[in-house]
Amino acid sequence: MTVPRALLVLSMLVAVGIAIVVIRQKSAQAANRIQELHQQDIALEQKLWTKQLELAKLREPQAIRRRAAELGFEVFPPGSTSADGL
Amino acid sequence: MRSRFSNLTAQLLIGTVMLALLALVGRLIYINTSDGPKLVARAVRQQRSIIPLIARRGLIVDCRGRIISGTTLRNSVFADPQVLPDKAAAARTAASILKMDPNEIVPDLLAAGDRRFFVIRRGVSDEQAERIRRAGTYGLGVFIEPYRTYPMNTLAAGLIGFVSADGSGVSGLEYQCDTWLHGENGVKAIIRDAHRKAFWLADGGYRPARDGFNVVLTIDSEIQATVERTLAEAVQRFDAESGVGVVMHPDTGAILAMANFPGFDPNHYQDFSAERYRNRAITDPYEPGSTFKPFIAASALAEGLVRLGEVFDCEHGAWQDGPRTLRDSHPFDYLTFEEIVIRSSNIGMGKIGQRLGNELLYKHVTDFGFGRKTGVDLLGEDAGILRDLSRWNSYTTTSIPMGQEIAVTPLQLARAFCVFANGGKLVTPYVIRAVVDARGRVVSDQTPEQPNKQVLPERIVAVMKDKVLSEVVNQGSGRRVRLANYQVFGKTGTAQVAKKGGGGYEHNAYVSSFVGAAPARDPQMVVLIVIRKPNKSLGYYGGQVAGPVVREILRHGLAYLQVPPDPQAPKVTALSSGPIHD
Repeated sequence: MTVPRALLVLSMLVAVGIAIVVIRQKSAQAANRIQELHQQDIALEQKLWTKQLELAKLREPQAIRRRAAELGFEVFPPGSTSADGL
Repeated sequence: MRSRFSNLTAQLLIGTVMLALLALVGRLIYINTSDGPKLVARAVRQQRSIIPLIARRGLIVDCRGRIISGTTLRNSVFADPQVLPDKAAAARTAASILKMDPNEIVPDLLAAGDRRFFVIRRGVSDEQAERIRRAGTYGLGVFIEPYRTYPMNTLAAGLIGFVSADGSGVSGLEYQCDTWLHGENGVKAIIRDAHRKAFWLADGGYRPARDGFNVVLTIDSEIQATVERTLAEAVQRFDAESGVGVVMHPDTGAILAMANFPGFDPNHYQDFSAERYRNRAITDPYEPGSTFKPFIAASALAEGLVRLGEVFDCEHGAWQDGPRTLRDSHPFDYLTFEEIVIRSSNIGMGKIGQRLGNELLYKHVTDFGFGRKTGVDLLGEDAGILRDLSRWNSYTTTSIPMGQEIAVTPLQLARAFCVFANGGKLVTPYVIRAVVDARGRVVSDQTPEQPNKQVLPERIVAVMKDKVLSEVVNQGSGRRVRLANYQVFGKTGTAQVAKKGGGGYEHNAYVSSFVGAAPARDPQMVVLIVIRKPNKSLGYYGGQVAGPVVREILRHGLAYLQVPPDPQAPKVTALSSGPIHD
């Protein structure tokens, strides 16, 4: 084994070692990103739950009637005619 | 010479590297064998975290997907008494942010003993939660917890029920459907780096949460809200004790509304007595009074024992039948069969009952489903009270036709009345339409298979509906239920309240009711309103107290369901202000 060859072998070993470290670092970054995205996903889903229930409160028939009354309106079901108000 | 020197140098170089590598490997083997297990355990403690993934309890929604019961998240503040450096200071910090008195917190913190987790306040605002975090007090923190909420407040509370603090159903549909609604929490085990950032998923460390299934009801929130609102107004106007309302679709048996007043708010169920939690539409039987008359009249017609237009002597309001005197609220002399029901003559019904006799009476009463549970998919249903035929006597023969000596639940009565609205069939009522998953896929279709039992012939049903029950509304005691665009048919009831434990009836105590349906040509809604013990001085007749409530529910409901008006509905020019008798 000559010196250049030995140096070449060493360089290759070092390169492989560095590659392993870089790949592991990228992999860890990717895993960390996945965790973050998963947490975001959970947080967004929980926000969705909250929004769904806020919407449910707005759709409550009595709340709609009260809000209409505050604005000076009366709620009639669709299709109502004046003849119904006998 | 030079090449030998080069070889030697190369070998020395490689040899040095190999030695270094060997030394490293040796060191690794030494660490692994001597301190390995201890170091692994420490690494797991430091690096591994278990994070629970919260499953959402399923929703309870109405037939149009509106959420009646749902789960959301809230911030809550906790303390770890074991690690708080200064409990009093921590209490002051928390109290100032949460606008509490420190004295509400300190005694409990001091008395916490070995507890590592003590909840100071549940459901704080986002701003308060952030301020607690920023305060940086070691041992004081914020956690997120799911909690059950009812965005429609009191709507259908008696039916929906509520959950306990740990999120399990304890009443109503929350309890009954707990197996479906209850999800399964998941878990995630992660590896953290030195900065506590999660960067890896531990082996075998992920199990996703499974959210609970959603329960879809047949209830329509709009119709339910109308029933609750109008029922509450009537109970309050007539200073009554309570009220119950049931709305059903006569063909399918679907329950569109089931209301109780007074009710309760499941968001604060602890503020109400347990009495309010009952769903009286299925748990509380009562004597139905005159609302029972159509069932007996129709039975006699079906048996051919009476005919339309047949005249009966109604004894001018008092009829001595053996030791018993039957009375009418208004003295009638001669009434036709139809008029006996339209004008609600007890004497006329007594005579019709005698023609039937006890055996046929019993057969038809049970054919209509009385004396046994309806089979509705709700827990706690009462079967009502119907004595065995062997215990019937001559009193019973004239009592049953006017709705006495029998107790029925509101749901039983509404369901039986569906027979007049669907061509003569007895349906099985139901409330749970389906169970679906979070994506809306059907897990279980709960629609019951309807028995095809013909209780009355179609021609009898048509005659009762068009010639008798429609006339109750057009010219009889149900005049206040008339609608401009739809023909309503039904029957009023003003029943006395039986004394608890027997021995007659309470003085001046009545149950005012109306059961009806519309439109007559193709009924889409059967409505029953029962109001218990109205103030007699304000009014107590069924047509006066319960009738207008049914009218309003039908008026609103039929328009909401976009049922086409009935061109043959009789012209209604003004509400009659004349007396309404039952």
